[in-house]
Amino acid sequence: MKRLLLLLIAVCTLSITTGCWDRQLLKNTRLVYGVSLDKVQNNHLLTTVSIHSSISSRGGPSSPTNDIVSSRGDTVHETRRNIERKISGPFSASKTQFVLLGNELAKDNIYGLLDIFYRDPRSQLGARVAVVDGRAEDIIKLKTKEETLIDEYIWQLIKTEEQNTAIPASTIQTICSNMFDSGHDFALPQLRISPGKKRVELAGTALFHGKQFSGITLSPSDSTLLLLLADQKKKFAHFTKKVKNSKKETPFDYVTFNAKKAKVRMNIDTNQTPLKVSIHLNIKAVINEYPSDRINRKGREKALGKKLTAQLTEQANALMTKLQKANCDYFGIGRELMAYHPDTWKKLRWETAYRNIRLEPKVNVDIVGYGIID
Amino acid sequence: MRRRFLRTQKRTKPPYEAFPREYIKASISLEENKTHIENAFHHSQDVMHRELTWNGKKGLLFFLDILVDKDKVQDDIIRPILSAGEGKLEEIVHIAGIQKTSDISKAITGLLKGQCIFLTEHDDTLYLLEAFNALGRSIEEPANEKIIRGSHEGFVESLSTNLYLLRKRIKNPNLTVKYITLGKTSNTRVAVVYLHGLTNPQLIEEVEKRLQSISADSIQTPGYIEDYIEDNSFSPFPQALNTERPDKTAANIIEGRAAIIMEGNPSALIVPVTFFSFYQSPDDFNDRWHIGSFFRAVRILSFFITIVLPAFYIAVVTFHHEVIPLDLIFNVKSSLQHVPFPPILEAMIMQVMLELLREAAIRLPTPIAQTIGIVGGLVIGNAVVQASLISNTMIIIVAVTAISSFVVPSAEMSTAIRLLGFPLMIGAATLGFFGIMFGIILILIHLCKLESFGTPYFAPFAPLRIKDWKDAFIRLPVWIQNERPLDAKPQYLKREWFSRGWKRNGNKK
Amino acid sequence: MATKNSTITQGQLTFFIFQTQIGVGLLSLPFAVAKIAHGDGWISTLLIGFFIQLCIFLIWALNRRFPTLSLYEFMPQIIGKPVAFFFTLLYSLYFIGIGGVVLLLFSNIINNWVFDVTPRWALILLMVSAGIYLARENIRIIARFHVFISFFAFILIFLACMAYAHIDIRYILPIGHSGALNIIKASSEALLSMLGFEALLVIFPYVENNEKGVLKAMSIANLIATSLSTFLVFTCLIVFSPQEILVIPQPMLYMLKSFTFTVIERLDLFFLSIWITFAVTSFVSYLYLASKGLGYAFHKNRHKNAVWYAAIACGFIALYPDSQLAINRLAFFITRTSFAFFAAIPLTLLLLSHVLRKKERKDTAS
Repeated sequence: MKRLLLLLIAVCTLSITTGCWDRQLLKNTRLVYGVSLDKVQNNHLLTTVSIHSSISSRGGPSSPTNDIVSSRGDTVHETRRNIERKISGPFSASKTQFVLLGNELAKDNIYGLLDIFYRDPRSQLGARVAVVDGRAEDIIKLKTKEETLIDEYIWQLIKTEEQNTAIPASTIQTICSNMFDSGHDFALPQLRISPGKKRVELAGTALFHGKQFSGITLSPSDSTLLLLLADQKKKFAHFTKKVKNSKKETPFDYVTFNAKKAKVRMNIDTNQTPLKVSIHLNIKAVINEYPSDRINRKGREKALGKKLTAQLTEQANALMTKLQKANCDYFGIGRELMAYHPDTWKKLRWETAYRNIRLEPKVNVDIVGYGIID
Repeated sequence: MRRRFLRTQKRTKPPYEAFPREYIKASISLEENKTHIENAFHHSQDVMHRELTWNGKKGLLFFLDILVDKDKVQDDIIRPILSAGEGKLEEIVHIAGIQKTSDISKAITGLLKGQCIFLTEHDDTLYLLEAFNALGRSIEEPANEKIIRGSHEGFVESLSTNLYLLRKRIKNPNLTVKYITLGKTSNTRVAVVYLHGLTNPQLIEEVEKRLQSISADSIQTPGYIEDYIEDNSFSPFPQALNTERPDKTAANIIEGRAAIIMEGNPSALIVPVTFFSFYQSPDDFNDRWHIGSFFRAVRILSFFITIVLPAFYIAVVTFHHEVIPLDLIFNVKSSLQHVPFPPILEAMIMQVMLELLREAAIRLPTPIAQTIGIVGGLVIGNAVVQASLISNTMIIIVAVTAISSFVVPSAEMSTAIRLLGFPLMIGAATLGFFGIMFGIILILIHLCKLESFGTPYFAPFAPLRIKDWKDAFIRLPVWIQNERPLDAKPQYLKREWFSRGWKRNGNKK
Repeated sequence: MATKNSTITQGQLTFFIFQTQIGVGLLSLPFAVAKIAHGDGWISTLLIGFFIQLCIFLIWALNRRFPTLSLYEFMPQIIGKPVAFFFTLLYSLYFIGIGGVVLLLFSNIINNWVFDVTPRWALILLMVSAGIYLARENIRIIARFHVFISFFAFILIFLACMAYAHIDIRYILPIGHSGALNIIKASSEALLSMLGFEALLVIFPYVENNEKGVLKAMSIANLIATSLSTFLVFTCLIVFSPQEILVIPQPMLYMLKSFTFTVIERLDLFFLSIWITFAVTSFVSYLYLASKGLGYAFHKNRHKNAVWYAAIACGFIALYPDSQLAINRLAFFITRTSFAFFAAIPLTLLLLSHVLRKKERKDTAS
């Protein structure tokens, strides 16, 4: 009897307190899909968010819409508060899929900007980060693009390009590890509005050093090669190279291939000064398009492979120069030194030493397939 | 305190109690005996008597009109007596069960059991002649424990038929039946059936002790017995398995458990049981073992769905919407858009509605029950969403919960776990996942504490015995289950010896 | 003295100790060791496991001299009643203290990670009530519960394995880079999350066949607990870069938070929910140990009567600190004093019992 009474009291108190405290009804929250951050005059921050919702007409099928709101403030959280004043329900960044950073802002310390994402337990650490060439706000303000909402558009774009090994798959969390690691730098995809056409496109990959954007952007083709060299190949990695020199420039001079398999070996030679780092990339290529001729002829495969090998090695060399100019240790050579050559690491000042080491990439292409025709 | 006082107080005997148990000597005078018997029944008009002459003396045959088989009385008792006229009664009548007594109260009890009493002038010997009329329905398949293949027999209301069904399955002299009469007014016969030599004697002693100590007016259903003998009445979990299937009962007896069967009720109470007993069905053993295992696993899954799913959903939409993946969250959110109630209330309303429908459908004849199902399920379900009172997703959640609660082969367990869902829902609405988790922890602690006739209820999980998992949430081939489960503490564990020896011998050739 | 219905098997002892050892502290363990030993934190964890193994030997050696008596019961025989009474109280206080710290760390983590508005007392109240409900029972039922809950460890390991998609083994290389001194220092930080084996002092007499088997069971428990925590520490150390882990007090949760799947997100919430059961088991164990002592001192060895006020005392300890700093200080204090209770006092008792030739007579033993 006594026990039953106790139970009753417990259930009653529980029912009364139901819904107090931390309740955050899904019904009322305004879910943010994408965020952009920009620097405006007086060092203010400008946050623009795309709030995604689907409106259902009473039991009928629902159609998605988005609401673009922007506001300024001194910290990211303050801008959020200011945005919350302009919308109908509590602001929730827990479903944020991407964060776009304006060019200007990215050149500052981006850790500071993302701090709130790391600190807030409800935030989404899997969100992608991208740099925008120009103002990030402009992209979100496009609102819809070809029947697709801009937020879904960007999200799908980023995801597809990651699969194509055109941009590194970096989330808020993965870049955090690199930001804290003095021997490893990262890169972020860079987007831009294509001139005139009011369309978002991928500009390439923005190279970072430490917590700052170095200002140097790699072209999409270069980024693919960078990712292959860093052993981060995803599903596809396409290259198009000129392999013939006709007198008249025609599209038939080119070949497009997919790196089906890519193997990387990095070697650090600590005996030499400056340090010599050689990176060997071995690509097993499948030809996607070769308009000029048949391939399956004696020696043709090998010859083609050789041409591609030469071209890619050349491209890789140019890439290394760019990386060193940006001071972006994308391959984590510093980390490698710390782990396997701690004595060498202690002698070096990596901050300046990285620019002077000898990076020697070597790419080898073997053609292993050419589609369903010869 | 007060209750304890009342219990210890000496019980005064109410006048309506069945009859005096003490020995009453029959008198020599026929007339006196007749008055005595008639008074005992307060001249109830279904007590009939027939005057006969026997050995030249006046004799009387008493019987309860409605309890005896008239044909039997006429053909096997009255006719032989009339045609012979004299001799020894035992040699004349065509009745198997004849008892002689000089105790009138025993005779009165006999009348109530469908026996006839024959008494003669100047004789204090009463003859009790068996003429019971076994009226009752025929053996049918129990409606709430249907199976696809296998035996379709079910218990009926007659105790002897039920015992027959068990004897038929276990042809063994060690199958022991012990009768206990319970209920001072209703005088109900209860049988305890077990396999002597296998079942733990302490268990039988305990069962008998608990049954004997029942001191009540009447025992109407096995539910009464269950309430009196179960270990913890305040537990939401049933602690005795109620089944109407003789094959299930027999299988349990052979595992070393005891069955309590009551006169007038087509079900057996099996003790001791574990939590997993309620998830076993004879169907598992009619199918091949992997199919049986799959369905067993589905049933265990249904347990989790029933108690956790609505609570989980409430926790997610109230506290942790971060958990829902991107592609789903906007669908859920849009279905919630115009709903005026908080999710906990939504769930409660739907659950109560469902219980109402279920309760209404049970009592009604089948055609009307179907109408109720359609009106309730389709029309209300649809209208409630159209009117934006309840969200689409909640309807799905409640429906899935209800369906999975009905998967459990045992009706009591099914209701028990459906009710357990409610406190978890409240927990979820208070503290989200942590509320649920605390609810589950409390349930688990309770399960670990609970015992059924001295055996742990949550075996073979707590205490852990991996050997017994072979028949818990999966069912392995019977030749792998070569030991009885330990929970009933049978005297012999081994139950299978090298049945597939042919395989090894065959390979040797 | 153990009655027939309250004994536990050696397997149950293993899981009882394992569950008591694995508690709330483990969530912060990678952070605690990485602060000092950096990438070598996992060595520190192994080291503390080894140290604990030594202490287990010590406790076993002491208890086997009195095979049917618990610490509270044999202390009077060695050091006399009044002193023993004082030490019984001290031990009870210590167990209450750890119980309080378990509650405190638990409620603090929930507050930080999920419910920042929900008052701490509500969470503590829930834990305390669950604790009272179970700790009132005899050791056998508690052990049954602990054994069952141990299955959840598989889920935790499974969740932790997800992290192996994003690892960089180079973060912990070269092995031994932080120096032997730092590794040893860090292992003292790991102590808090590995406490629990001292429960043997009290539950030794309840174990069936408690001669050699106990040692085996204890060693297995310690082995499992040490390997589980080393595994978790190792995982965290190779997921987070060495500088990054220094800013993340609960790396395990943080790691799970960043994973995304098509059916479910925010794995840390699930991890935490399952973790509650581990917190509850630890708390129940300590509550039981404390109330055993109090029961022996005040209630003629009936621990049931002591459970509720011991639990409330734990609750108040957990409510008292009001800032992160105070919480850390209390945890630190308990960790430091624990050394006296699982090593210093048992060692003294063992030496004294040898010197004074105090030993349980065999004829009363069986």
